[in-house]
Amino acid sequence: MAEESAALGRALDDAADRSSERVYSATQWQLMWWRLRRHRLAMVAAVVLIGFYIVVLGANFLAISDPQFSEAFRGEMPPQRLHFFDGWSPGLYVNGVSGARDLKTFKKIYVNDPEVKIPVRLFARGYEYKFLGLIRTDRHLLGVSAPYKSEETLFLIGTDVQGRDVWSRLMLATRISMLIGLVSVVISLILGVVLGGVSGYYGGWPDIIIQRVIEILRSIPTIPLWMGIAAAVPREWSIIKIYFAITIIISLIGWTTLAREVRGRFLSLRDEDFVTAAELSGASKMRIIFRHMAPSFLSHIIASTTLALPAIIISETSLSFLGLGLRPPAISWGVMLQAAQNVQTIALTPWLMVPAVPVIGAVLAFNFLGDGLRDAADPYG
Amino acid sequence: MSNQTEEFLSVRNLVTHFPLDEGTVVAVDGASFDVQAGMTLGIVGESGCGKSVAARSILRILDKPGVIVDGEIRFRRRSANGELGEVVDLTTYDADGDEMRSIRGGEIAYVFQEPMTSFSPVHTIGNQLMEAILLHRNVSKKEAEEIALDMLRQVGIPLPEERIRQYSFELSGGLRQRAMIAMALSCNPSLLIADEPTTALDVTTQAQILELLQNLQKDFGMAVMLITHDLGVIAEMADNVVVMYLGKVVESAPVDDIFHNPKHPYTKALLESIPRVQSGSREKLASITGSIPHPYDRPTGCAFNPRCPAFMEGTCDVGEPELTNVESNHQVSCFLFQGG
Amino acid sequence: MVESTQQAPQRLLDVTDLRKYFPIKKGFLRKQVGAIRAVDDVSFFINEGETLGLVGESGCGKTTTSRCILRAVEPTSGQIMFRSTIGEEVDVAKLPSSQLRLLRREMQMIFQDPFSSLNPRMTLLDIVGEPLTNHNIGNRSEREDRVADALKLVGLRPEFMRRFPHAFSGGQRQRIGIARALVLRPRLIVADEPVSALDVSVQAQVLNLMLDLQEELDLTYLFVAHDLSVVKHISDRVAVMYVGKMVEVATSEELFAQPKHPYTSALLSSNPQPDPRTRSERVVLQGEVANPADPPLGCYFNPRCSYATDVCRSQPPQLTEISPNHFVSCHRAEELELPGVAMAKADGIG
Repeated sequence: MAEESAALGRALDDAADRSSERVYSATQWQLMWWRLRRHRLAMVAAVVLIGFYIVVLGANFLAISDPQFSEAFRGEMPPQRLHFFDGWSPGLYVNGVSGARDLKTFKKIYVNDPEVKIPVRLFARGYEYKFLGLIRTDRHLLGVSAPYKSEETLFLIGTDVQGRDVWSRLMLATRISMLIGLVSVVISLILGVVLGGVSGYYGGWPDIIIQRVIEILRSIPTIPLWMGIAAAVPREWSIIKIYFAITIIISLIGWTTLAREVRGRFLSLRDEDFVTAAELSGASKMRIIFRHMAPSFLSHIIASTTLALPAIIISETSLSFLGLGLRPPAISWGVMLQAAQNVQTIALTPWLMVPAVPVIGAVLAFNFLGDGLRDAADPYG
Repeated sequence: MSNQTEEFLSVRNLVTHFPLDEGTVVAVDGASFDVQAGMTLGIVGESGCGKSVAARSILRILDKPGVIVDGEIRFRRRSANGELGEVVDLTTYDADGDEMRSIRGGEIAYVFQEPMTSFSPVHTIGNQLMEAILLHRNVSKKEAEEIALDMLRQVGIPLPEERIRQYSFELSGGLRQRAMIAMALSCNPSLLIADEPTTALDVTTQAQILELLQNLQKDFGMAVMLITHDLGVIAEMADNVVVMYLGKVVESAPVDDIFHNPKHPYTKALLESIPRVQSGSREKLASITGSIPHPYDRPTGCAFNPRCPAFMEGTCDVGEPELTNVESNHQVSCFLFQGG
Repeated sequence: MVESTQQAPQRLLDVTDLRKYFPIKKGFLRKQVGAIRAVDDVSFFINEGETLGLVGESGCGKTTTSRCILRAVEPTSGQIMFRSTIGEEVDVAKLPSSQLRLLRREMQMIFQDPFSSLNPRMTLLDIVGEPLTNHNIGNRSEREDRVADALKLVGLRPEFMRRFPHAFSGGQRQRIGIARALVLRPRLIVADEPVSALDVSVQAQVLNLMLDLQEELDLTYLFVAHDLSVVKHISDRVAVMYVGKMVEVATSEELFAQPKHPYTSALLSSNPQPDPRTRSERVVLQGEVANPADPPLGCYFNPRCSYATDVCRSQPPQLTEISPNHFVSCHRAEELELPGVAMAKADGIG
């Protein structure tokens, strides 16, 4: 009987299966990827985020002038126009700019000199840095060649009050802001999965205790908490230390959402037949958690994590904006936006608000991608 | 007194498609059957045969992206004085329009398989019953409540005055299904479509509900379209039977003929493969080889040909058979009976 | 319970007074205010090589009983004696977890839902090979061979082992579940409604497969089901449960032809027969299934029983052997003549 149905099974299968083998052998990741591919907004968002992380990797390469280099007399310079054609022939250049101060209003006035054409080079030499922290080089994507100096002549988004190139600062700010998000999320992820898993799988007292801790943490108002912790951080700490302290602080609150989700999934998975089957086939508790249950919610965790990143970016930006997070000489979007806190900025030097654009862009991109991932991850066939 | 040979519900060549990303699923592929006034039609088939989709097509409550592509659904409506009136084609009505909404619940009622999910968990039973009544009948709220109580009594729910204030989760499975039937019958429909009404119930509760349906049918004089995969239920309840396979009607006959004089190889094989209590213990069943094809991989020719013990090469895998009369009231869709 | 036949077959499983109570906790401090008596002093045995069908409606405790036997659920009390391969009898209920793990090689389970019993994220090789991996049997290629053998046994092609469950139909998935249960060559298989979720035509295939496998591999089955016709086909003996209690146990033939408990008789009568000519003979049971958290006094079935007397309403009956190998739990078992199902071979069908 078994052979008979096998024989017929063969006949039926041969006819239908050849093209479907791919689908039949597809892992959950492949199925998820195929579903995600169809979500156009998520794909666009993914490309945008890849762009952001390219900036993270090559922040210094993309910068033009040393972000800390300041020249007061070049302060508050508006963005320069990058020309692509010189008359009819192609060539990148900017015009020279001369500055003066209006004696009546004491406002800085910059005048474009169309006669002076400063050629802009690709892969020009500029200030020195270590690419990826390893290779010492001084090449940058854009720059000017001798006898001009980038720090004195090329300002694609103008300068800030202290005469520092906004474009270069923006590149480095992107790196710091995007990285804080990642590190924070990884810490939250580990805490959330472990504690949520313990809570969901074992139940009983561990569950009760962990859930109450989560509730207490979540009931603390975040901004006053940050302010308190930021005030407690010693001012003598180096930038790096403060950076990590901020990161850890943010992740200590952020793990709670993930923990609850993980717990919920564990609770529902515990009663599934395939988990019982695994127990009956002799699997240890550890194996059941990691081999059988974890893959079921991994896709959800990825989606949740992607959606948690924008919150962290906004946290850092807000903290720094309020002066409670990173402080100069560290550069992040929040730090840059600190300079844009007043009406003068909007009226006189609006280019200083440009850092808001990548904040919005990154947050939107993470949200769209996270949405797409969540739709793709759920449901599994 | 309705003339039983007069048309009441006639489905002719119904074709319903579900266009999905992966391909179009042909859920119903040219099905034709009749329901006679006051009688019970049993539609039986396994998964993928299209019986539920056909029923939902009649009431135009197909899940998106389902769409009726072809065919007619001729239904005799009730005229203003309560007598049977004119025949209309339901496929021509707008699914969300006033006409269909007045028919749904008012003239054609539907009972679902899963009573738990068919009731709103946040409204009381009474609330939902009264909503149905008020939608279709011109009565006051007080009168609606009276009617609701009366219906609950008729379906055999003890202490209806208490139950009417309860929520669906406070009732057991059997009581919930009775309440569902009460809701369906509250507006005196001429046709009741019951889609696997007892599949989710225990066998003793099932017996109660089936008995209830039989009694109510007599009392209300309505037609019943009973959809199920359970041949035992069909044998108990149906006057006429339609057997469906992969979206098509393969055999249509009075119930005694289907069980004692089946013609289509699928019907025969199905009857031979069901377990019966009269058999010897540990007796092997004659099973149908193979499995139901995937909806995207419909076989060419007759849908049943890969599994058919009477397969005729060159005929069955080439063309599709038509539903033809073999005896009075007995139709089969099979090449064994074509042209004779 | 005493065996009454001379050539006594060995009992593979002998359950005595099994109980599983689920506490009902109310209030802030979660005090126990009562209990759901899911399995209430259940006793039965299964002989080696036979199939015991366990039937009953929802809430009767058959699923909980089946899970207690494998200790997938911890029993509240009772004895579950299992004759292991070495010949000694062990009480599954009291085994420490390390020994339980080893014993699990000899008893496996087949689940009801073909869609939730297979991990959708594991290949067939992983799923069917899981028991082998967990018990450290063989190396990777040996395991692959054994998985291939198991798949062939159930009628699936070994090449399928790289595929994921979503590629298979319900019937095929159920076969995969059976392959997984067989890969360790267990002696006892507990099948929890293995065909209830399948189409009629597929049910027949899987039932036939199970019958074949039982012969080939010398298996013993505990077959839990609610469908009496299915149970008739596969069982040697049948046990009927009602609200946590065992009400009747007998051979298949005797139980169906001459039931001794009114509930069994009602159950048989409620079963819709696939023959329109038998319509008039049904007896419809009134009332609702009793609440396992608050069962009636005396015999649990008495409110719905048309034969109930005063003793039924006050005293709970005991499971007694009223004829060889026929056990009933009813005060009036000896005197009642109950309608059963005739063994007549149905004619004119097919």
